[in-house]
Amino acid sequence: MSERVAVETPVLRKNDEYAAENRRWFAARGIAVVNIMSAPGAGKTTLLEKTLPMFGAAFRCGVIEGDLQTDLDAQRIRSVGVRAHQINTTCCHLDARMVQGAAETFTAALPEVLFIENIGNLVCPASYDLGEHLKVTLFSVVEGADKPKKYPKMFRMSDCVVLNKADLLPYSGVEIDELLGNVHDVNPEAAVFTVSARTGEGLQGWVDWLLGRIDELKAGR
Amino acid sequence: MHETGIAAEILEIAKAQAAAHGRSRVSEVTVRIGEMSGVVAEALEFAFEALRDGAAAEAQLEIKRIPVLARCEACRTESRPGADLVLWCAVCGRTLKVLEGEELTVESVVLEEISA
Repeated sequence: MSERVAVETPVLRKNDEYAAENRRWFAARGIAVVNIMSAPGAGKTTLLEKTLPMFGAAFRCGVIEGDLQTDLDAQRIRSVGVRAHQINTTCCHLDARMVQGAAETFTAALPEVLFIENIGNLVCPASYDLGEHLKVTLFSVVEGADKPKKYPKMFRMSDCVVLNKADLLPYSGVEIDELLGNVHDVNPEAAVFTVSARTGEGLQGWVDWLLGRIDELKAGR
Repeated sequence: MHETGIAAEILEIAKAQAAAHGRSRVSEVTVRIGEMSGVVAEALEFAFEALRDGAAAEAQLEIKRIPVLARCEACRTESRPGADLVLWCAVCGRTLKVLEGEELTVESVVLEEISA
């Protein structure tokens, strides 16, 4: 005899439970956590290399790096004087459990701000809550103006969208207004910054926004 | 790409239901997948078939695709943004609240036989 049973369970419930644990763990230690997501090659590591020194003495920072192979990114972060923990996974995204393991490796003098550089992928990382406080989508303008509509989830969930490689705009054939319009269509409330992490153009606005949001988080707002 | 992990989670949930209800077999799993959930139905079907085992070894996956439905919280206008995905209100310009279309949920399972 067959019987239909109502379940109504979120598929990623287990990840969500780990994410909730992470959130409590971060809150108990006063750590603000920023999850940076993008396609491969959009410039996440370069953005961090440039952003971290601009934080100056404001906060003690740490970085969790996610990649399929190598610890090249963690080395790049350490070379600007910031602690980094590399996660290597054959997964196409980081999940909350991986982040839990990595966060626990920062033992002495915990970071006050923890950046998570997710696996380069414009799709899967958007589905996994890591227990972070801020989600940032980094997008290089050369990827094309239509991508926010084609891959809406990540843009939609983000507090901030950073459009990188602005110095390549003249060579990209991308109309920045069309790209900005598409970002606005899928996420009218995101803070949006157009920058070149390589040249430093526009980075101050992004850093000011980030410091402001971290201050608000620390103040419990 | 993450459909393999999603399929594995769905199978775990389904098998846990069979165990909780004292049944030996799951014959069907119905899931709701929103159009904006970031999950590709075909990839999920492929992964599900490849991974199914134990009490769910013969389970069929039933996928309900849920289109995006959004509402303006200011003027209460409801809309289906469709392929354009304009998520601000055409009437008053405010951000739309997405009511449906982001689901990734196991809705129900069909269980067979009583375990001895």
